[in-house]
Amino acid sequence: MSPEATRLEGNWEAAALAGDLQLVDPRSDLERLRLLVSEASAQRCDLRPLFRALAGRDPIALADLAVGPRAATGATVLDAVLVVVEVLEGQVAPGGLYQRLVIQAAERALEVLEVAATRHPGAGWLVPLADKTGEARPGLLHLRAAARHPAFVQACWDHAAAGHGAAVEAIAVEARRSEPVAALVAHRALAAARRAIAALLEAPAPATLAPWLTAAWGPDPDQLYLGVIPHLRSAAAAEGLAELAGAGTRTHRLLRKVLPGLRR
Amino acid sequence: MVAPSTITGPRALLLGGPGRLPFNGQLRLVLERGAGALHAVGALASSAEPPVAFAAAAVVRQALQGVQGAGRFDLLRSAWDQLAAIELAALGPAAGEDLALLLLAADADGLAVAGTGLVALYAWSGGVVSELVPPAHPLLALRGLPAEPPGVFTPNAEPQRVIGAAASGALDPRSWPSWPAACGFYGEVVR
Repeated sequence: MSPEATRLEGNWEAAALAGDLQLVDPRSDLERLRLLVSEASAQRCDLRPLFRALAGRDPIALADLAVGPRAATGATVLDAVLVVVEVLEGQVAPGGLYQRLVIQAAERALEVLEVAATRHPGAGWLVPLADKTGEARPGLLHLRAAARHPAFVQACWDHAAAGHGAAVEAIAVEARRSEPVAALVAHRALAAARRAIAALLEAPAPATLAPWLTAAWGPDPDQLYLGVIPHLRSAAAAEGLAELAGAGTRTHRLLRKVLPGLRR
Repeated sequence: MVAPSTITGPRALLLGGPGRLPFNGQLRLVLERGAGALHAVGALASSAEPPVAFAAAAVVRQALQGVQGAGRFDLLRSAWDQLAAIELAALGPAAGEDLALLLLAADADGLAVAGTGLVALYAWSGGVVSELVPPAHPLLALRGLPAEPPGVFTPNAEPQRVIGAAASGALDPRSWPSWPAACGFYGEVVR
């Protein structure tokens, strides 16, 4: 048995790990607790009972141990931190807290981002945070969490401005929403916008699509729609685009020529 | 000077408003009527949600589709008549009080300009933008839908295009790196 294991099995340590803080003064025992957390993390011991108990007893000490400059890292630390994250938010501003946690979490940064996005779907700091997590399409996790939040439109604009066009395009199609497409148009991510429009047209398009696109592009979106044609995959989508563009437009005229060649 | 017959596309443009949706509630159309043409651009209900603004703009657009006339002055009068027949409640939360509209009617004899809700008008010719009328011009004094057809301005030199600035969020197009894009006008090709 290693010395660390022996140390963890001491009465004080074992009780603390089990969440019993009767023998613990979190402030005066802070360094002992820090050592305990470090060793427990190294041995992959469950730290959740200890963190829960500290959350109720001394959130400041908890914050120091969990996300302070000398905080231990490791899988069990992160597990425990995520259990008490609400308490930690009371001690550290959420933007800074989650930025710190993403760094601590390393390969599990996406888990942290998911918690952050779920708890703060309207937060602007999630936009730069998405670039630090290794998310395949940075911003998508946030946008999914924000889809039913009043800040969704702002989030779309912020992510489009940050160059997260792939995520904005994806959420437009997933959520079948017009606002993300308008955000792409507003930031001149036109290829992504056109792909999203084509994808939305595969089913009856949202009724709000034309209003949002016109508001972002300008009162004559014919040129925008023309660029959608190469992305169309079905006759139904082509018919939808023709309706969207309106009779008399170049898009409408061109679609009448290509429609026979599209599968029904 | 570019001959009017060689000018393609819309000749009436309106600067977009401030905010993330600069063209919310904008409409633009060109109507060919015999030897004449009416170029209209407008904006209303721009602070409403896009579907509301879009619907209000569609009402104005639909009304203007009914314009008839042989010459530029007839076209303008017909346009105001069509607009006067609109149910104001259909024009968005402000019932048309926030309407900005620029009408250009052209025929073989020249151009006639009218409008409401405008605070500045610029002429664009040969890539140069200049003030079309001075700030105190009566053309810039009207707000909302007029009860009677308002006065008409006939420029001596016919510009290729006229750019309007609406009372809400007007901007001088000369300060923009690309004023056509600021009007939601992208020429012939956009990639």
